Parts: sequence; C-alpha cells; structure tokens
Amino acid sequence: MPLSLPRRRLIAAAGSLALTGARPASASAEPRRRVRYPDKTDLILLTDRPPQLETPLHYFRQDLTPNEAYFVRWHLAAIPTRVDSGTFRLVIDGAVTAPLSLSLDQLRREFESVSLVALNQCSGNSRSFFEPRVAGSQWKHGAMGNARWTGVRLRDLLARAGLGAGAVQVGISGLDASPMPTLPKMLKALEIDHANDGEVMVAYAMNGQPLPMLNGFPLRLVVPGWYATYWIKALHHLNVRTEPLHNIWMDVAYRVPNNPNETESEEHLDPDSVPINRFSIHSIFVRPEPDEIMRVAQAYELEGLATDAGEGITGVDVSLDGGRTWTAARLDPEIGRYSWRRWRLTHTPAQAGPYVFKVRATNKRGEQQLTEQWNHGGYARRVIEQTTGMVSA
Amino acid sequence: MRYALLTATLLLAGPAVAQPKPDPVQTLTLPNEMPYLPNGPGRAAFVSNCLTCHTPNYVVNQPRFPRATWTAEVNKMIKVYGAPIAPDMVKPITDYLVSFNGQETGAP
Repeated sequence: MPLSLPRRRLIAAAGSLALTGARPASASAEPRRRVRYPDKTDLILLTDRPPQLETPLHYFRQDLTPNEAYFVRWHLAAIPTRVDSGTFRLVIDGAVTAPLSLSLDQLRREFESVSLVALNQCSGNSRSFFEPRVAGSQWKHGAMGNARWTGVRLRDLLARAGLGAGAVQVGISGLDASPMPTLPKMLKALEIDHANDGEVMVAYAMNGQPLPMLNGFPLRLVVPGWYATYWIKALHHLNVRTEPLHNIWMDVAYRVPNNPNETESEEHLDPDSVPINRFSIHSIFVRPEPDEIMRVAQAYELEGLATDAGEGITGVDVSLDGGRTWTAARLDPEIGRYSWRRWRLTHTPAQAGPYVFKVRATNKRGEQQLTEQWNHGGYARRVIEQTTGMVSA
Repeated sequence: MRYALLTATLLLAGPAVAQPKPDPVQTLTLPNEMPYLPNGPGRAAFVSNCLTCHTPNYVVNQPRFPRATWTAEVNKMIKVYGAPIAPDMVKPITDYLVSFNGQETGAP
C-alpha cells in the first residue's frame, strides 16, 4: 500500500481486513447495528426476540463494566417483563429437609451479605472469530463483563434448607419460559459440591445497584470462573436433585470436546464431550480497536484484558510484529481472583504501514492461549488473538 | 444545578449497595427491531414457521452460510429445539435462508 495516499483513502483502505493479511471481510449482512434498550446504553444488536446485545469494546477500558453497558443474552423469547419485588419468591426445594420460599427482604435480612468482583462471559463469546465459521450468535469479544456482585452464598441457603440424603446436583432455573411446549425451559445444574463451595452466590446487586431487568432482576446466580450458561437470570427456583439432570441444555447444547484444549475439527468431531465449565484462558486487545489508525513516532498505550477461571494471570505478552517477537505487557493491579486482569503496553510505531499485533496470556497453572482451536459450538475460545490496522505517516 | 450535583455526590458517597427504594414493580418494554425481509423463494414458509419463536435477526446476524449449513440449522430447530415444522417445509424455509443470507456452496 503506497503511503502517499490521501488520508481519506488511507482510512477507507484500512477498513478492509484483506489489506492487512487477515481473512477477507465477509460479504454477509452481520450488521451489528446499535440499539438502545430499557436501562441500557447503545449496545450492539445481535437479536431482539429474545434480546442479545453486545457490549462495545471501549467499555472494557474500565475495571468494572457499567450496568447499562453490560451484555445481554437470553435463550428463549418468553423473558420476564414484569417482576413484583414484594411478591417474588426464591424457591428451594427437592431433596431438602425444609423447602424454602424466600422473599427478597428475607434474603437481605436473614443471610450474611457477601460481595465479589467477577467476570461473567458467554460460552460463545468471540465465536465469530472461529474459522471455519460456526452457526450461533455471532459475538465478537463483547459478550462479557466484569462486575461487583453482592448477594448471599448459595451454601448458606442450602444449609438453611438442609440437604437431604442422596443430593447430587442443584437444578437452577429462572422466570423465563419457553415459547413452545415442545422445548423445555432453560434449566441447568451444578454438582452439589460446586453449589456448596461457598463461592457460588445468589446475587441481588450488580455494581451496587439492583440488576437491570435485562440482566436478571431481581436475582441471578453467580458462578465465579464458570461460563455464563450457569449464571441463571431472574433466578426463581433451586431444585436439589438426587439424580443428574438430563435435558437439551446439559446434554446437547453447551457441550465442549472432552480434551484439554477443547478442540476438534469439522472432519473429526470429538465423540466425547462434556458440559462447558470453567473459563478458558484468553486475552484480547481493547485498544487499538480493529482497524484503528496509529501515527508514526507518536506513543500509543495499547490496552487489553486477560481472563482465566481464577487461577491468576501471571503474564501477558504482546507481539508488535505479527508474532515473531514478544514483549511483556504491564499488568494492572489485581482486583479480585475472579476478575479479569487489565494490561497495558506503550508502543511508538517507527514506520508507516499495516500492523498486526498479537496477544497471549499465561496463568499460575501454566495455561496459555493456543495457536489453533476450533469446536462445533464455537465455545470457550482460547486462541491467541490479533488485531490489525494502519500506521499513518 | 448545584443542588443536583450535591444530590449526586451524596448518592455516590452512600453505602456500597445503595438502595434508593426502587419501584417494587419492575417492568420491561421490549423494542421491536424487526429487520426488512426481502422477497424470495420460501418467504411465507419462513415467516409462518420460524418467527413464532424468534426474531429473524437470528438469520441476519449470521455469515452467508452454504445451503448445507442452513439445512442443518433448520433440522436442528426441529430435532433439538422441538420446533413443530412439517417435513415438507424444510426445503422452502432453507430456500429462503439461502436467498436471504446464504449461498448454494462454499465457505462463508
């Protein structure tokens, strides 16, 4: 690309991914239109019935994602549109000695309040970057958010109800319903030891405020370090089970190949799969944004995020030359075991032309991102990410 | 103006979980973001079978998948999600998906 192009044309050219060596931009619709929903700022519309809204990248330049910018993802069209806090009850039943029906006031008054910062992330976050492309909600990196959750320990609720003999799982469901009698409503399960680990929380506040309706008012389950499919919104029913749950939400959807890298190929699908569980290690660029223009000899602070399932990020390496050499980024202070970790790196481009940056994180368990990964659901992405753009003279 | 700023400061300085006595009844009015559905083969089959359960934005926000992928998606709706779609509707629905946001063959 000649560098003498007028700036306007340079910007237009930089808008084409093909220029910078990445895969060609799809000719598909995939419009990513911005819309404004109740209690939300302008978010990227994936679907409207049920709502799926993605957080624009720039909101990730803060430790905590504002409630109004927090991503939205429901499965089935019959989502709750009216909740009366006075009459709402959280029901705990099944294999318990004393079934409970708790009001929101009771939850606040009768149980110890706990608070933690935790990342929540859709199982299919970053799905649209998989090659070959996978059907499903075409998220970029914005189906996640970091928030401070306040609520009560699930363990304390289960202790009050008293676990009965043979309890193996807790079934979790919310106020949302299926639009079709042939399709079971969203119902997930956690193993009893996990539910009882003292970290899984029934949250009634998000960043110090009641949850927005679209994020699950009045309660949502918080499962630190695990994908959002277990963080049931508008949480209404905890059912202690004496046998494992089998439904499409556990047995068909949300399954990943049962191998350490959660990878397979279209030609060789792994016959062995497990329900998706803990977050993959992953890191992304937040700044520069895709196709952003940088300037020669002008210092630029690259920013991004690194996420894992709570083991702890130990390092983030950035390549400014398409993966040939790597430089350690500076990590922001840790703000919680289950939080994301922000990182920065100052870079002063020496010459004009296209750039390809890459980023990879490492954690205390020694896990790293992968050069290649693909699975049929487009889940649990762990690939070394790259961003491209132009440096102008 | 000064009063508003003062109020905002007081709210910010409040306890970690501020509970400014919200309306006990929360409601949600969902906007309708129906995309334009161009004419094409099978449009009527698509509209009458698919839109009962979900928005057509599910189609708009996908890559231009080949016919084989769209056929698999329609069958997934029937077999996995229990959509009551008659067998002879699979072809016209797929025709519309291919014409609306797809291609006969090739990678998206």
